[in-house]
Amino acid sequence: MNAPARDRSLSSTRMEVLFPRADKTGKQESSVSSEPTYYGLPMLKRPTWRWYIPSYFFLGGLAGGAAMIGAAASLFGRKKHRVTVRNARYLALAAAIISPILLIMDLGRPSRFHHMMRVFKLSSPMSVGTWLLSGFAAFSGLLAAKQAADDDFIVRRESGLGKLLRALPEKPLDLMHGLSGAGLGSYTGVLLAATAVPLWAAGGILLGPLFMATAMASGAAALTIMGIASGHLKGDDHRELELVETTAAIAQLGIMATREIVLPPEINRHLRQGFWGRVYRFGAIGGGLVLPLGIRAAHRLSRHRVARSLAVVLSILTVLGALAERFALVEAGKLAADDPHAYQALTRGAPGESRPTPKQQARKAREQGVRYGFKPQMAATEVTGPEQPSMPISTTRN
Amino acid sequence: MAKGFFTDTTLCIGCKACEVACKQWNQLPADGYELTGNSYDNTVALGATTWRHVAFIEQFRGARDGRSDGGGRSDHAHANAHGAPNGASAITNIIQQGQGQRTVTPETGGLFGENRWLMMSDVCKHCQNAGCLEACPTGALIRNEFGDVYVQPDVCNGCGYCVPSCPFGVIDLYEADGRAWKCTLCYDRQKDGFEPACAKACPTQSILFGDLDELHARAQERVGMLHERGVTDAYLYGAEEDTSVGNLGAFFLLVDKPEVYNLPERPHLPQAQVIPSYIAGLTAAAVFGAVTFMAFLIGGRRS
Repeated sequence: MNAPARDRSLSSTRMEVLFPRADKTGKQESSVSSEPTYYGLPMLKRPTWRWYIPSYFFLGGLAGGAAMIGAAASLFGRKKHRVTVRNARYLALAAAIISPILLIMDLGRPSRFHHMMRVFKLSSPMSVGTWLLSGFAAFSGLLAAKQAADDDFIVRRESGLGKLLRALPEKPLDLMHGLSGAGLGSYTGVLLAATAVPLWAAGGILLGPLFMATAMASGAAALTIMGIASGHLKGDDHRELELVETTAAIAQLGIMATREIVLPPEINRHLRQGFWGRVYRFGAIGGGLVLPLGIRAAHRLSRHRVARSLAVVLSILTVLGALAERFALVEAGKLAADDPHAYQALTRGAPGESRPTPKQQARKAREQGVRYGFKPQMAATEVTGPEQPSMPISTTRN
Repeated sequence: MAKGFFTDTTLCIGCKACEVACKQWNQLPADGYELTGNSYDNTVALGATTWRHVAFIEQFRGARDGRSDGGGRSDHAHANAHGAPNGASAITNIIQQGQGQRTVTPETGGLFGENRWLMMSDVCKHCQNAGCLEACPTGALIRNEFGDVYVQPDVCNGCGYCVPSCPFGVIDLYEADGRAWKCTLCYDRQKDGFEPACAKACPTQSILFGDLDELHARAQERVGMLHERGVTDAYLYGAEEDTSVGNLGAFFLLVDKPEVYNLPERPHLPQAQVIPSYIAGLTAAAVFGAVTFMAFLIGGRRS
């Protein structure tokens, strides 16, 4: 089940040592940096996450965005927006059921998933995310159940449970659903930014907004698809969703362009080359953003409405683009973690903030009046203090 | 009082006793027997089952210098155009170039003149501000009573978030049991008043274990002595740092750039990004929330 993606056995590392990747992409390697490396070996450990994690980033973001839209439609919309509200609630519940399964499947010890609930740590976006997802799932469940009672779907309207569910206060639940959705849509970007992986850490402050924008675009697109395909969104009723989707897609494009400028080329090259680079450029940017935005702009300029069937196609492109973006960022991040030049570019000291030079350190040693006379025969046990019985070499612990 | 390691790389002879002692005491599985061709380093890197790793860097004139990888000496003190491709030629080159350069003098600029062979026993740094510890969502990673960063194996659920959060690429998941493992600084031995197995086994006292304050003083002393003797590129890595990672619970005396030893020049604490990133993400969420609100408000009026 977990063999290929997580195959980080030493033998594969060693194959790379014997046949370094530099041989295949030698041109790029030499143009990047002449800084010394340790046999070109990685300075970082490659993230062990399998396909579940980028899938979750996609699905959780989509659900978070949809929940925000559903909450706004419920709180501020008219009667015609109830279709979107209902779709958002069911979609959020479905995602809230699948997401934890994806996350638990990726754990090394899935049976210990509840250990996440031992602590709440603001410094760990994963811990924050655990609680966000829990809250989101709770609100999604309540709202979806309420919606089912309203719809006379599974839960009978007039049954005791149906009456109880319909009596739930809608507005506070919607508000909390929207807020937890906002957290769910943005925290995954923070989670990636708060690592040492060069591609995620460099310009990391942009990742939260980027993931939020992608969440909004894909959430709005998913609701458009659901609404039009089911035939419930009639006439022009998808135009509010279209506005949200377009705004978020433009923001996404802007943030991605900013990343291109901000990130050092040694780091960003992993998003520009190779398979995942193509997925990012042609999938996420080209097919997922530029193409739908371009078609919409062309319609607007020629004063034509986007046909409903075309709107569905464009929304499908947006959703697939979001999926491509999540996978490309995570997978290219793994390659960047393997690249010592990329990590050196991230951790290179700015001028004037380097550690004391050897000379300064030696001067300091002199100033502190330390006498040179290091006694190598001085046993380390003297440093530890307490007396230590000697350990025979053959002793092992049971 | 925090305990830790001072690893003086100028004393390391590359015997790998620390690797063996660590494996033996902690009962870590073998990594297989494969030859890399990277000098005598067949361990490759620290990992879930390798908590000490001796790095070997060959800096031989005209040998490996021409390559972008491998231990080209970084001070560019000498031309490196004539690069022979592999380690075997390195040895040949030494022999061919004669004995003259072996003399240790301050003028030739290094420990063994132009040609030198650096060795460093690498280990988990037990950072003052540890990325893995901050990242851990289960509380499995803790700072123990000796001031060291320790993974509680009975708590870890193998989420893998500590792996990319380590700025030194130390901690990793062990495939066979799905949990994260790294150097414990021999927590069990320390509890009984013993020093860690690697420090105990080190025959040259390249690895010293003790109170960090005391070790810092001794390390400063050693830097001063080496400078006095002409090794003017000796310096401490991980002591009195002003990086966000802070001082390292395992610090090193090095004689070349950190990158040569596969150490980052200026490690960052990954979680320094957390608060600004949350703010940026939630600001974006607020903007999109406002856009959605406007969309439905206006959309509602239109009909």
